[in-house]
Amino acid sequence: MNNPPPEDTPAESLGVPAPPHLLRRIWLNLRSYPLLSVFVLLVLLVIPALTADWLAPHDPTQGVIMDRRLPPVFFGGTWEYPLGTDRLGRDILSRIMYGARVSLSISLVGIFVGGLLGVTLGLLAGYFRGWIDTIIMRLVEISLALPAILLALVLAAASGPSFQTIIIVVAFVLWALYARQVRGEVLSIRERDYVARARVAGASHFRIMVRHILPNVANTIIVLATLQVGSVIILEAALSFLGLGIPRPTPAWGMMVADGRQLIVSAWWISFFPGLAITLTVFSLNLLGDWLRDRLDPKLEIV
Amino acid sequence: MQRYLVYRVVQSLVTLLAISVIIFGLSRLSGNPVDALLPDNATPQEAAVVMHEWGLDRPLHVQYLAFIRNALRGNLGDSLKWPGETALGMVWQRLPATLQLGGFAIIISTLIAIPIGVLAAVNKGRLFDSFGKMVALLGQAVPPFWLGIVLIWTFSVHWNVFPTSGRGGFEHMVLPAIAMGWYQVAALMRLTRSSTLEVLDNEYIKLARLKGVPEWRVIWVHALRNAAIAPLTYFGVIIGYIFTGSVVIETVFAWPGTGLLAIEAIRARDYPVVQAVVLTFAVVFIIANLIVDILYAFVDPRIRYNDNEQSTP
Amino acid sequence: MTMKNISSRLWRPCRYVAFAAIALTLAIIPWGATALAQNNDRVVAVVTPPGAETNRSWAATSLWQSLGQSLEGLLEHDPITGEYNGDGLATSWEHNDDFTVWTFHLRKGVQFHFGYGEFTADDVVHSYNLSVSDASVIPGVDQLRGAEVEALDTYTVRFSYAKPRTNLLYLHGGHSIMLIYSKKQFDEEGLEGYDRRFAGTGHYQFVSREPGRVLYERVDDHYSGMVPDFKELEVRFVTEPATKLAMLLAGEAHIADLSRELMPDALSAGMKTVQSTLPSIQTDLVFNGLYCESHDDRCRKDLPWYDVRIREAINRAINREEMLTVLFPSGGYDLHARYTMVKGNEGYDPTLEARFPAEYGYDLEKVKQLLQDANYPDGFKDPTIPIIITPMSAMPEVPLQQEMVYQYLIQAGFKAKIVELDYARVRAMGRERELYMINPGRNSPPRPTEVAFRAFYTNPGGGLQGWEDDWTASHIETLISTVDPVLRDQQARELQNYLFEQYVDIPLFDGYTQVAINPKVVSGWAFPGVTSAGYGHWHLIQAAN
Repeated sequence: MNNPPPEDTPAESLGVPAPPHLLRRIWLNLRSYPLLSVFVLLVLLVIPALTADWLAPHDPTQGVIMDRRLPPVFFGGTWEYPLGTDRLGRDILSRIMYGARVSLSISLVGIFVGGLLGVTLGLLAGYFRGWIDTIIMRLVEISLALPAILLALVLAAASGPSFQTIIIVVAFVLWALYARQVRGEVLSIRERDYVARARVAGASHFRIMVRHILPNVANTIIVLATLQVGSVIILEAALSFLGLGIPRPTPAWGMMVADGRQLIVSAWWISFFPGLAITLTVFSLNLLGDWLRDRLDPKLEIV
Repeated sequence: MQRYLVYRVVQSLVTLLAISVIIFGLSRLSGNPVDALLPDNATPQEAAVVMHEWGLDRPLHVQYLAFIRNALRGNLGDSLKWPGETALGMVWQRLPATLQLGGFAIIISTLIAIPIGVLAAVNKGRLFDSFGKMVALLGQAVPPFWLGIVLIWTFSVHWNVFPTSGRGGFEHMVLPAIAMGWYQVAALMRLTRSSTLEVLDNEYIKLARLKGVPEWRVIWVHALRNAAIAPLTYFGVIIGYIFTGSVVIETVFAWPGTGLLAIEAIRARDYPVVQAVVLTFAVVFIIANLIVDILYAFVDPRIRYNDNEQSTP
Repeated sequence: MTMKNISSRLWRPCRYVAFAAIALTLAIIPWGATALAQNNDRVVAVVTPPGAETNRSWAATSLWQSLGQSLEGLLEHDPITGEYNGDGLATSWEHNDDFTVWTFHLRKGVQFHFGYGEFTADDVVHSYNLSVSDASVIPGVDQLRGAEVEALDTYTVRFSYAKPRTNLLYLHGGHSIMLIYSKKQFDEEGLEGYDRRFAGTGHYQFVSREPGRVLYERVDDHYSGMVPDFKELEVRFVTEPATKLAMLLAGEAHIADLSRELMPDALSAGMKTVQSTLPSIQTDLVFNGLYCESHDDRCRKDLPWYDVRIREAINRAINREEMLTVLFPSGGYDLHARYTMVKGNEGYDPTLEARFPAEYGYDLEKVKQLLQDANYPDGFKDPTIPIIITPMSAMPEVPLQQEMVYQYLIQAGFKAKIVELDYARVRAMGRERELYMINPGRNSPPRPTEVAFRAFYTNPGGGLQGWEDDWTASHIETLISTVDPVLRDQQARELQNYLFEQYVDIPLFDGYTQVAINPKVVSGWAFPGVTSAGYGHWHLIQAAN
């Protein structure tokens, strides 16, 4: 809350590398473009989300009861169901493909709502300071002091779990993070010369905020958003485990893991493959986020 | 300094008051305890009798004022679900378990994160850096409840080295603490790594090297000492993770702490206990952050004079 | 000053905080406190948590799994037949002709635990007062209330009601409506005494309780003369099904009330199952929201299932045999023809069992025909059938079951959707009489017919069953005021036939309680399935050696 945001630390201080070794050069090349992450994300998240309707081999919500709990191919199963079937005979591959769409839409919508709220309030707080800042920072503190998962439980108890309740919870978790981060940066940006010049030239507050300050915090927002997609996916899984996830029979990765968790020994594939999808996706997202941060905003500190 | 202290404490009290309003409202919004605590075929008459007994038939503002009046005397009401227990008593009974598990999880994640972070900084860009990163990021990428169940099946059922669940001795804590702590390793590792990088660049480290202090000593004593502070400065944030994580981890490991209590209380619409859990959490969180802020104020005199200017370099 | 400089200056004050925090954490670990109970004298059961972890039986629902070891009702059930017998606290009982006055004769020489003296009629009066207090939430308390209870002498107690109580015995038996506490302990220590350590009369006496577990210890000189095999009985409460199974397989628990889906996993790991001798639960799906007595403005005639043809079609769209194999792979569940109709109870009609396959059986051709006749979906404002998924105790199969029903309905040509709701929310909607959905229902343990009718088909019953109409209401009213057993049986039978022909709900299964046991430690356990938890008779757990 009142932690001072980091000062401008020159990026060079992160250390000057010694002359590269061959293996390391290859590695550095790989590192400089997170191709693997992008590839995994495309294959696991983006392409299935966009094309599940055409590519998925089976209906994700209608199973064949006779075919329930079939193992994956190479583990005694057939190519009919490459990753096996779940407790109701639904194709796990198809459900994962449709689930990508659910995960992606929760993350995008949730982060958009939370980000919009947080960035706006952060801008206002940092720009105007004074009592506006005080009030908004109190709101941030309140929001951080209220455990989000309890909010989720209460909302679900009130109205039952739904897409909307999950979006509310995600936005609730994220907005304070954005607000705090953006405010800190705005506090220093507003003191810069060009902002002062714009003010002297008679630009309105709104114009200064949108034209002069917002572009300068855009990098932070992008990096934060990328890093948050992963944690939103994990949050969705935790909510599903507590019975607060996306309502059945919609295929959502978290719900699939949660539903199959009891059968981890006798039918491990039911929870393993959606779990693997979550892990690979979040892992790649975080790698990508770290890379973006090093590129765009190396001084950003996120826990 | 004193003025600043008073200012911060007053701010915190305002925050607490706001939270009490929010949680009071939210818990009422979540439904009526008679629907959770009475038998399935209870009649409306029975429900009315019990509502009156619990004082829930009074107007909301009367209930809230009574709640605040009692809260100021340290009484958060009697539990509805656990007869004979006070709400605060329930929380106090369960809080040590959560703090113990959370504390151990922080220790474990720190013990993993700091070496990885330091080594990653020293070997920046080398294989170990990326390996450490993998370990850390993996923890952040696996849903904690799933990790918990996999741990139980591997270490308790298959190898039978740790107990599956419940609270008990040291060995009971290992699996839940790993499941809870691994998630934070990545964040702590990032902090340690970046702060070590910066510390290594400092004058006094260079001086120490010039003086001929061995490299391992430079890194592990001088650098680490300064880098290890990072987790502490983020203590408040981590406390938040502990409480959130405890809800899931305590369910998987049947760990009798506040997370489990919170779920049961919300499912039962046990308003007093829900309020007590949330307020206790808020108080712990606010105090933790207050301490961090005051420590900052202690070392950075500018903060004391103008709260709003504190962050302007 | 950079952040990191602040950090380094902070280190000095902070390291004390850090050391203190680490020391504190290590200090509160109860080192070595777990001499894990690997003694042969203790049996550990892991079960679904009770309604609340408390010693006050009247103040929470579903407490049988945590108090039934030590507290007893007036009546004992035969472990095989489930019938009331005179082996418990009451040795015999009688009632007057119109069932308003009941007299119980109590056993002599029964001692409360911990030396609180002999059990007498005063304890019954005292326990009655606890059970009907304003804070009481026990099931059926409205039936228990309203009595004048007198101790006629030390060993005789009389309950006098204004209206007939034909099912009073049910309130004193295994459904744990009214459990017997010691008056002497209450007089000396009050309720706090019960909270610390309550004295009962059962085979096990209370030792300790902590969150998530309760420990009991065998009473060596019980009045029945029977000594349980295990000296100690520990009951642990765990919600997560995978964790329960893991505890059983890791040898930390010897008895587990696993969900049915996990039973095969336990069996293949060498565990065994024991099963109640009687069905302990009836399940159905409820066509809710049919609040259709003629004076009731809550009746929504535009609901698809207001039409009896749609009700029949939904019943016939469901493949119950297939559901049995999927939901209950370890067996122990059967079809039944009528929810609330139990063999041996009033109104049991075997002809309905015979008619069931032809009139309720899976038949997609017939469904098509019925939907055509009813002009579904075009003839309905909202043809979507909302199916509720909600967590219900004793029914872990609900989510899977409802998803199956959803699939069947879609395959049969219905429009359907799944609605996930918190259980208390479902009940709130039922209480407000606006639950216009298909919800899972349960009758556990199966109630006497009149009690079940009252709970499920009257206004206000409990809200979870929404069938009400004038015919049913008047016939239930007649049943309640009739005391002649033959007339009652006839009346109940007529009701069962009417409800059957109206397709008022979707009957599913009669279920037996199954628990998994570790055969190396526990060789058997006989219980009838008459309690709210399904199991009981803890003293009959047999040791393997």
